Amino acid sequence: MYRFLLRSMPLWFLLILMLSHTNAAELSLSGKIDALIDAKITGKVVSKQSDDHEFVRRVYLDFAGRIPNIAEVDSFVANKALDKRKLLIAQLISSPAYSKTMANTFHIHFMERLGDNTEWMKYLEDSFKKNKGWNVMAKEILRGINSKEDLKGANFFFSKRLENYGQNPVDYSALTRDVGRLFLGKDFRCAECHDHLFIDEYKQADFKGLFAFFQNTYLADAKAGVVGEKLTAKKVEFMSVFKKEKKETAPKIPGMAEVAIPEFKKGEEFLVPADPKKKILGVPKFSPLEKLSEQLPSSENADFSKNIVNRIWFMMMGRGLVHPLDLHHAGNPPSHPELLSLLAKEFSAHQFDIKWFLTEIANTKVYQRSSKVEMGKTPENPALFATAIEKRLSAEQLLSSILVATGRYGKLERKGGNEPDMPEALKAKFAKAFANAARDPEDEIAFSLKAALFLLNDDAVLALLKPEADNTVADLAKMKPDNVMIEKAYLVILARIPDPQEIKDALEFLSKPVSAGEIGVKNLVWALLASSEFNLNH
Amino acid sequence: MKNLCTPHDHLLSRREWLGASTVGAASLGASGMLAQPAIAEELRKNDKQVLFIWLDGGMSQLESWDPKPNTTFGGPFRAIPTKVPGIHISELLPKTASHMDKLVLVRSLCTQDNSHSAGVDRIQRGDPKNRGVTYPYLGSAVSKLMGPCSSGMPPYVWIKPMSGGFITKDAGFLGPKYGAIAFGDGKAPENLLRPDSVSLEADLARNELREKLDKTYRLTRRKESSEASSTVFDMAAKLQKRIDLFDQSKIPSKDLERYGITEFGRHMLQARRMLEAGVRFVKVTSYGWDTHGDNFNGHLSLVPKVDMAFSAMLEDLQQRGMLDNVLVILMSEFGRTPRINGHLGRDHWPEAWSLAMAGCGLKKGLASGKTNKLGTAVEGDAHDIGSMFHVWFKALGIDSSETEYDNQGQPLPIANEECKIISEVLA
Amino acid sequence: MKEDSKELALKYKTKKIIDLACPVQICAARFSPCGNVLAAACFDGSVRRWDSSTDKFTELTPITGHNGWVQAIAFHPTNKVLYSADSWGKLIASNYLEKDSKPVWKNDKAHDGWIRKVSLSPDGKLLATCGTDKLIKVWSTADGSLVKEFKDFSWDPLSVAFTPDSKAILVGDLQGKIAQVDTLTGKKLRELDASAMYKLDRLQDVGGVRCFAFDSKGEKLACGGINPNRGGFVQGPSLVIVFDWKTGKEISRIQSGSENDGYVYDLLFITDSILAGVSSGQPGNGKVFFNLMGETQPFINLATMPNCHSFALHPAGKKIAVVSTNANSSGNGKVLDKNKDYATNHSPINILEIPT
Repeated sequence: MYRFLLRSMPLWFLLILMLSHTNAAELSLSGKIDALIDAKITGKVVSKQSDDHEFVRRVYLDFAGRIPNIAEVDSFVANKALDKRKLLIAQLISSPAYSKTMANTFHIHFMERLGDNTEWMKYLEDSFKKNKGWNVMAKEILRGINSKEDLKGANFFFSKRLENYGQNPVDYSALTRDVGRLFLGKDFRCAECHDHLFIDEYKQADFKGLFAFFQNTYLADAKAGVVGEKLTAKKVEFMSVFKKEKKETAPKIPGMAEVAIPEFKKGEEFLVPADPKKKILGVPKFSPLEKLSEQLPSSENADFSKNIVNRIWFMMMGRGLVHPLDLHHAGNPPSHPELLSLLAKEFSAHQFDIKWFLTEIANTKVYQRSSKVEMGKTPENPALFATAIEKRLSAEQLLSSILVATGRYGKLERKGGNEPDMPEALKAKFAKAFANAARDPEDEIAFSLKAALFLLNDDAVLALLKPEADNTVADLAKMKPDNVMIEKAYLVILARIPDPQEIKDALEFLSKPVSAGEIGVKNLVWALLASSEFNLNH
Repeated sequence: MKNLCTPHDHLLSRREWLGASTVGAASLGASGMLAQPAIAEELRKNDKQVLFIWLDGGMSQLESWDPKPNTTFGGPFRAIPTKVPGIHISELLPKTASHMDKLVLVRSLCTQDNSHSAGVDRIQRGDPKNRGVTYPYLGSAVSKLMGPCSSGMPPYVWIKPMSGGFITKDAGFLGPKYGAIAFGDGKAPENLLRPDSVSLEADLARNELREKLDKTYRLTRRKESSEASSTVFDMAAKLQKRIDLFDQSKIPSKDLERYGITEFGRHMLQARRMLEAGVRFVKVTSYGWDTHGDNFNGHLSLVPKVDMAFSAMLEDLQQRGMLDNVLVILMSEFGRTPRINGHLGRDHWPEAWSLAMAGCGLKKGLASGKTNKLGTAVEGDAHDIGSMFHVWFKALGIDSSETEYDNQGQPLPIANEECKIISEVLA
Repeated sequence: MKEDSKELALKYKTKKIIDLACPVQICAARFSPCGNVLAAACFDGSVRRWDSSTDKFTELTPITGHNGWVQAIAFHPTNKVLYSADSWGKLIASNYLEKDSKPVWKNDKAHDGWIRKVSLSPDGKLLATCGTDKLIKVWSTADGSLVKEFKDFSWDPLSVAFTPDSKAILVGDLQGKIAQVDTLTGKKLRELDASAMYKLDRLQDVGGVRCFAFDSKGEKLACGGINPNRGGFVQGPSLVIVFDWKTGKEISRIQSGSENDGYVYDLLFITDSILAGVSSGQPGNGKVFFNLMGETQPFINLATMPNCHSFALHPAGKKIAVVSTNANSSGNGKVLDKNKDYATNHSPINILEIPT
């Protein structure tokens, strides 16, 4: 009967019904998220909730950047507590691994493989450790000219983009686009020379207004990554290639007021006058970057909030509510408009508290849904989130996970109580095989020929399969080839128990002449590592 | 569609059955070479292909397809008659002259860019109208529009000097999946060769298990998520079966001589083998054609090497019955100036230049378009590179006036819609 | 006795007498042995002539009949005959004093293609040519009949010269090999190494031995070319290698300081210890140089005449003709002149005087 009611009721009534069924305490954000998601999937093919094995693997990958080891899997599965999932989420989010993992996720997301920088990573890790609000982080990143020791790393977002190569000039257009895309969720690429041809809301004035913040920035010290600003005294002039109408704009965030460019008497424009001989950068009194960092990441800026909640939703759920992530406009509406608005409102109201936000999302039914569909059924449109979306694993997650799976993670050097750093050489190899090219967002599953060949034949990968001490291959090779052994292999590598058919297939494989001895175990482990299941965050 | 089964498959299966441990194509001996008639037959039926030969830097049209001997800017060389009465080309291409009955020359090219850095890109991307997206190179476009051939070999392969790798930038907005696999100096891509520690049988077995695991996974998941990896592992397997394509020692010395003992000759020969193996789009690049200085000695050294390999290629494609199925294009990013500078060189010249093509969907033995007496301008209809893209797509059976790309909802023409097709060159 | 380079620079400080305008580009220029005619082999199939008996250098009627480029010219040491060869393979012997010069003899198919050089034996009996057909041919100067043909070279010969005793021919090729070949038998007597003048850059063979010069005693042989850095637009410092003729060993190397200088196109010993020459590289570059034997750098190194392709010494020893190229000779695309025409470049001939 309940289902019948659900099917036939309009959303607003449903919400009232649900709300009236709660206790005095308001529904948590998690609850509200589920309500809004559920409202659109009544009567549809909805997957079950993830079982313990699926869940523990997913949540470790998302918050610890790696698959759980067998002890972690067993302990979670064996735990009888009713709220064990909530507890595990809380535990992982407050673990040292969390800040490293989030730093890497945000690094890939915001630098898009343009380059690496130790100080930048340190800045990110530190910020996530302290649980800085995203508005504070965005402010620091967009400031671009941070001189405080603990904030210098944040300058990398701009300093990298202000580099130029050979005779090519600095690509200010790309920088402008990146800020629009990554901080406002809007790709103004097609609005540089004219108003966007088919997205009415993206105007050339939007592009040029943003561009005006950056046109006078430059890379003052390439090695140290120091950004400088030249004098900004006048507006940017522009004209559409179609309409020959002269226009101009001061620095302006789309949807907000133009920043007034103050006038100074000649000779009084600088706070600190430039002195090239003494290598002193001139610091103008009027800093467009300062204005940008003050105005853009604020609660008043709807684009700012919507963009970040959409991106964090994507990181957790595998698809943005607005997808692609940088095309928020009327013609590309969110799959769940009320949900997007709700998330933006709540995140902002909670001072952009990332840990809180992630906790709320992780505790939803929708996040914990299985990615499996009943055999024979067709999964719904991914935008409905009726079935969990399989997510791409980053090169870094893959490396950590392979090291866990091959029993080598525990042997890595740790500094203090922290999670270990990945060996540089392996990190580089994995990035080469699995990472996208610069500025190609890693927002969908893409498995390249390069990656396949890497897994098949690379010395570094095959070396991980060498039995040593008590690593996975050595361990398994000592065991008799039976269901106990296969179960262990699956638990260690895929974080789950195999079904009878899978055990049968694996034993059959091991019984082949070509699988005699060590080779069989190595190749069994290899096949599990090379499987789609291992290479995805399902 | 029937799966193309190569002699290699049979041989490997039999070896596997016999439990032999000999590896690779080495033991196949002479039969390691593709059995030409069988493969050619299949390719003929199903799969059109492209051979795109890129002479980077700008080959001079005056020292190749459109000579103007004994004129102000003609330079020292003579023109020679070809197999087609009325068509003369530079004396530097005597072998190709004997194949003119297979070729189509376009002498009326007039393009926009006289710089290399932008020019190469614009030409290979078809210089479409600026819509703020990066268009794919021709190889990526064909890779997308036509997919791999039924052989399952990677659809877009690039044989070039120096370094190789996975060149994703060619693909533009289509995405890195449609990039090129570049074989640096014809060598296999990194990690293609199976290391000694993994025997062929073990490799087959472990991949069989991997596929079983994926099949199980797919029973309860969205197909698309594991499709990407299946496709590339398949392609890797197909490529690995054909490591003979990277083994130069397998090539008969007669072939090596016919194509010329030069870097370009070797690369062209490998290109032919790639085509035979069923690669959809093979690009061969030769660098160093930017003869701003000593143009005539430069072309005297360079052009005959192309002449040799190109004519051998035409001969071989014809003999294998592949010329009707393979679209052959030979070109640069522009031509060279009629005016000869103080360094006895010619400079960049997009104003009036030529390219040569043959094969699939084209007429035979034709010179389309012309330049004036001195070669300083096109006479009659001039054609931008967009026109060539229309021609090439048509030749491959794709109607460029109706087919569009879908760039996340943005429809995009596959060739510059302001350029007209050159009907007279199409069969 | 070693002379001071500053003194030499003063001694040989040339003075411009006159510029001869030539509307087309020139491959080579030479003075007749009598000193009365200056001839220039041109891009338009003509051999232009000037009366060099006075400093007025009045232009005479050109010799016509060639195709393509007239690449090389050489005067008979005593007879009034000028031999010219073109890039289509034609060889013409002309009486150079006649106004409307008709050929004394000609051979339309002397070579199959580009004839690179013409060299007269000092005794005036024979004429040697080499071409892109990879053949070296020796002709009778009297009637143009073929005396000998050397077919055994798989080289690409770029220059030929008779040895001072007329008994052998030097052949310099693209790969930097120099062979001394017996004139009558065609037997290779020895090989000299100028491989520094060659590079295989990607697909292109770059460089080659472009010119030869013997001193009057026949003791030293100088060859000119480039030390190639790269092909394509061809960059490299110009290079001269001097050999001791008797031993065949290299005795000195003169390499210019700039990789824009390019090829040495012409060399001449103006005295037995002073070697002069010209080079042409990147547009606007190239030198006119005078080098004292034993020194590695020239004492005169003029950069004022860009892209020089030929250097001729008047038999009286006081005048030099340097063939250069106009400024701004290069440019991508359709570069138009003041009259909005697409005009050809040209080679002014700089007539210089060596002070007494």
